[in-house]
Amino acid sequence: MKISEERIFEAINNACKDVFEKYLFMDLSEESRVKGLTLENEYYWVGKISFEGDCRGIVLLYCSEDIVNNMLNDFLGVEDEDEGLEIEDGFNELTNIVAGNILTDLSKGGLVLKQGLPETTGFKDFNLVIDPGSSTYTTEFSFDENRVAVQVILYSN
Amino acid sequence: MYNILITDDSSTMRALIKKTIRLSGFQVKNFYEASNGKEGLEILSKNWIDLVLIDINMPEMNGIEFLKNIKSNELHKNIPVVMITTEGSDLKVEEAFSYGAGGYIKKPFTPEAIKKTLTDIIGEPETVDRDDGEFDF
Repeated sequence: MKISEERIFEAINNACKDVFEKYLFMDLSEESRVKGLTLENEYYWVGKISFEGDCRGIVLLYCSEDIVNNMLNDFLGVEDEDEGLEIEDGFNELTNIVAGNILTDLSKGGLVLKQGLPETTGFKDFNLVIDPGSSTYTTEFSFDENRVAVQVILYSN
Repeated sequence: MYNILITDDSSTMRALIKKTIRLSGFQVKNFYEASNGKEGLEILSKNWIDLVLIDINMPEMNGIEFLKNIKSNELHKNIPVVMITTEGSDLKVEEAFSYGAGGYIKKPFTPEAIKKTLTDIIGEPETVDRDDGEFDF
């Protein structure tokens, strides 16, 4: 089933605004959106989640170091006394929520999309191999010293 | 005082849910935590639980399978279940309700959303020592 480019970017923007405003108290305004993105910037962590169903692909979440380092304490509202929490687990969950919101948005037209489980990798170790013919949709936000990017990659079959 | 089981594969999310429930004013005797449905069933078999919160997307045994297990068990079928998940599509919501879920909260949730859903299911939280009724995060 074909999803239009406009719908995908709309879903990415809606999910980013919803998640980062509600959980991370960040204002992802239009002004913070980076134009002409090529993902040339350095990130720190990459979260990846695959999906299948009426179409197949992956959702990727990239965040700069400060966001990840401060995420649990400053943004998620989880305090230092909560023991045993790991940045990676928090970032996995953030990826899960962003991807879930995008896929839910895209499935509003009757599309059935089944979401996989999240994986987190350091940006330096991240090596993305995608099928030839895949389509990539990227949106990046930059504010203060922080950067967030979301990619949706749709496989050709 | 409630015994609440939170089933989510993310320890961060379990901590956030616990904190949000406490801030909502619900008097909780014990929070039990499970990272998948299998662990959840084990906890249910050994403890008195008043409310179960379940994430759908989990390894080992996912939330829908866990919900079906609870609702098909004579001992547990009357325990209220609330799904807390990113998967808010109509199909998923309908599926969860068809298997007996009593409520549904979509991530990212607000403290108000948690309070409203839990109030609908287990009643108003007892009065707490807060004068503004607002949540501080």
